[in-house]
Amino acid sequence: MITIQKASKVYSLGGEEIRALDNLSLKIDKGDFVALLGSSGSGKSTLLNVVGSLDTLTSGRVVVEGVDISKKKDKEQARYRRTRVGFIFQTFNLQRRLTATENVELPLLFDNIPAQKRKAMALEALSKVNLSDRVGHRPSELSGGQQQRVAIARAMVNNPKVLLADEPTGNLDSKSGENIMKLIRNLNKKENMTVIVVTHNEEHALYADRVLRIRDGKILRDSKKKQ
Amino acid sequence: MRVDDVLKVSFGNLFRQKARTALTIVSMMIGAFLISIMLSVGNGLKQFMISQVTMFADTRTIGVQKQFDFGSFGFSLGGGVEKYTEPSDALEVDVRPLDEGTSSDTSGMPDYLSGAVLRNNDLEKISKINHVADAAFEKYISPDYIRLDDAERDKLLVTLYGLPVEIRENASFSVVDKNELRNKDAVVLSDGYAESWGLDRELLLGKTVWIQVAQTGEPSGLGSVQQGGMSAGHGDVEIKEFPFKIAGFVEKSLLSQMGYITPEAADEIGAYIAGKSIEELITDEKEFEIIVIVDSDENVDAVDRAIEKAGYQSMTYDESIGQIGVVFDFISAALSSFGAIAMLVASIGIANTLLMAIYERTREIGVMKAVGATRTVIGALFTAEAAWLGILGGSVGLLVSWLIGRFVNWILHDGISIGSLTILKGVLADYPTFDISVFNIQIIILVLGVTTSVAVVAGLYPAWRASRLDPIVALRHD
Repeated sequence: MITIQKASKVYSLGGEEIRALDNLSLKIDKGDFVALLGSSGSGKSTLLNVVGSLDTLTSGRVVVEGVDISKKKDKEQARYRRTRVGFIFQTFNLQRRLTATENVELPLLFDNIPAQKRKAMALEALSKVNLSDRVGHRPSELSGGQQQRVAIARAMVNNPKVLLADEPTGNLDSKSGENIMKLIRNLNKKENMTVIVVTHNEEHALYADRVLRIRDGKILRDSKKKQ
Repeated sequence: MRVDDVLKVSFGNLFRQKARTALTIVSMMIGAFLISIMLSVGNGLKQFMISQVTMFADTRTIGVQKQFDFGSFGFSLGGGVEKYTEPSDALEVDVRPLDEGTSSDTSGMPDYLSGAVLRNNDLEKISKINHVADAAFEKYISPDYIRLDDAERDKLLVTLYGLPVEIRENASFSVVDKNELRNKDAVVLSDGYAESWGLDRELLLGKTVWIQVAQTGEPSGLGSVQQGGMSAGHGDVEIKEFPFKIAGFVEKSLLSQMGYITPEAADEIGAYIAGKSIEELITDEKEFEIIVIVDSDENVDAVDRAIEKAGYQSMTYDESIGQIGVVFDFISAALSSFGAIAMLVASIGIANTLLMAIYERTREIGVMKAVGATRTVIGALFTAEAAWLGILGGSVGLLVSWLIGRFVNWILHDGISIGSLTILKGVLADYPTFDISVFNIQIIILVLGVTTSVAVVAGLYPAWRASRLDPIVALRHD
């Protein structure tokens, strides 16, 4: 489903050339749950952003369901992000002045969906993350775990094929982190979504079917859980 | 993203930093206020001038002149009615009824004006144009004074204007006796005469007034247009008083010392001044303007073209209004430029407000991009936010200027007084239909259009910057 071929991302920082991705190749099947493990600056977040079309490659290509997304223009990239992928961030990135429902509606707003339908879809997504009783709450009225669940609902509201999570438990206590990982695992199984999670946490990586250890922009080890 | 969602979201964004938004709107409001108040005052003055100029005009009238530069006539505008000063060597007044015209030698027209003179053959030529219902010379006469029978009342200066009855009937009267109006000895006076004589206009209707002219031997045209009193110290020049009956008063106007009489009466007085018989005067008529009345409104343009084709200069009612409009629109535009400067400053404020908003919302813009917003949508959201600032600033500016305009109109009409103590006199009390500030739909559309356009232009750069933000950088922003 996702094919990354000879992907390199090079940028310069203070006159020094940094290789965030170094000729990396990878295939991820549909419905896979992949954890990317590695230290800071290893290139795991860059890999996630490249798959999510938030970042572009210096060379190589990323093919998702047969389409090379690395060559797309802004409008097509935005459409891809809107319809094919969902992002979950470490800091949740919810809009403080909006309610949970309004935050979840955000991707639908950019997809020309009428207000009434948007609301119905947002409420459904919130029920999937067990937040039906918090739909009118603003982020400041929710716990960290609840905020991340709102962010997950936002990521999956448009039924994407791929869920990309960048350290989703990084700002949560261990119990909330466990719950979030369970929820993501659940979505992966129930909704048959392909999930890529960036994490530092070895324990949380165990929720994945496949663990990729990244160092210096290369895959150091690719281990699959035995079925 | 749907247009209604863009408008809704961008409007909601205005309330994130309420104080900053309010200040930006106030700065835009100042520009809008200045522009709209200037335009409304220009419009008020324009309407007033049009009402003055068209006081006796009919949409079917066309003024015809020779193709010649006249310069300007010497009417005193807005000065009110002036008193007549007795000449030091006042003569006995020879009082005769209107029909007793006398004749004597003629004198010539000033040479420099001869090119502008219209004669009987011109009148005949113009009268023969298709659809011309009536054509007559426009006649101005400048007598010495006008007085009531009552010796207690002042003798006042006056300029007489001979007008066909069709035109006089359509005038803006404050009081009128329509039956009297058609009589040959009827005179319609400016509103100020009743006031100067200290009598009610209604009481003066039908009263006899006496108008004194001197036999200067000059033609009745421009030679007699000099202000009354010109013959103070007539020497041995013969003078005569003509009796008229007051048929009405026109609304207070800037032409404050006018008397409107019939063309026939004007001919009689003109003949007396020139020292000719009426027949002689009519045979050798020399005037500067012919008033044409067209049979119907639809034919005005055709007649206008035919007159110009015949080699004359003509001005229809619509053209006169149009000319006044152009002049006052230009004045309004010039005055509005102060507002435009204020608006330019406000536009910098809008750009600054939006640039600050981008800084504050950088992370949010990153999220919007991550969940599928295109550059166009991000740009549209900020451009719409700028437009809202313009619309709100413009609306508040219009509202404030409208309220202040209304207040000023009220003060100028009614003045300010506490009990019997007058603090400020209503300077426009005599002009009940004249408002200094007059709003219309064009002003509202123009001001909102300008404020919105200026705001949108000011918002283009911030919108472009927001749309170009790198989502990765934006998402890392603190």
